[in-house]
Amino acid sequence: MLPHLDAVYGFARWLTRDPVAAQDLAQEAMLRALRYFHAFRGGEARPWLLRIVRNTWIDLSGRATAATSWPLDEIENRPPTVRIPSRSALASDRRRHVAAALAALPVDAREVLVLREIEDLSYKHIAAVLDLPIGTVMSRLARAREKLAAELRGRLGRRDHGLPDL
Amino acid sequence: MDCPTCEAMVDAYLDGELSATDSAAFERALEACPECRRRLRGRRGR
Repeated sequence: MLPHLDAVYGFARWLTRDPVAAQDLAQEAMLRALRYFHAFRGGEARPWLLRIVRNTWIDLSGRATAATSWPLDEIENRPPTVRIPSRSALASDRRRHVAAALAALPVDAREVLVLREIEDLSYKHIAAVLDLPIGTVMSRLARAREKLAAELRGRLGRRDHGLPDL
Repeated sequence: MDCPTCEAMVDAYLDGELSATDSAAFERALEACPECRRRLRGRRGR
């Protein structure tokens, strides 16, 4: 499980959008993973762990509370401390915009995007983490990408009219 | 395949997440759906 600690914390960070809450969540999720390790049926450990992170988050905070939207200024002014895709050639300024836009999305969109674009999980593994049919993963991911693109366009349009669309 | 299904499959198709059978069905559906073809072109241009 240790090789996946970064993924556990990173996912916790994106879910909670708070570094302290993310540490608490990651710690509790790892404790649960150890407790339930006998139930692990082999295969890939990372999706299994990320599912525990998500379920722990739901148990600890309640989905309704956790999904409350944050003031955008607060999100925009916070430097991103979580990983965003290393394969991406985004410049740091653009990375900051992408991270802020992603953080501002509703949790349904945020979690599916993080699992696909940051954790690089297959649809099958995303379906397992989110406990959804694969068709729902497909449609949710397509909608989430559109929301992210719209959010980015809005931000770049607001901040600097000279920037090209992403 | 109805259009909302086809629409949702554009991303899965480009992500390489469709089975060979589903990819073939999707490509057939594209022929009948200008909106989804436009969508696919838009996604490829990202």
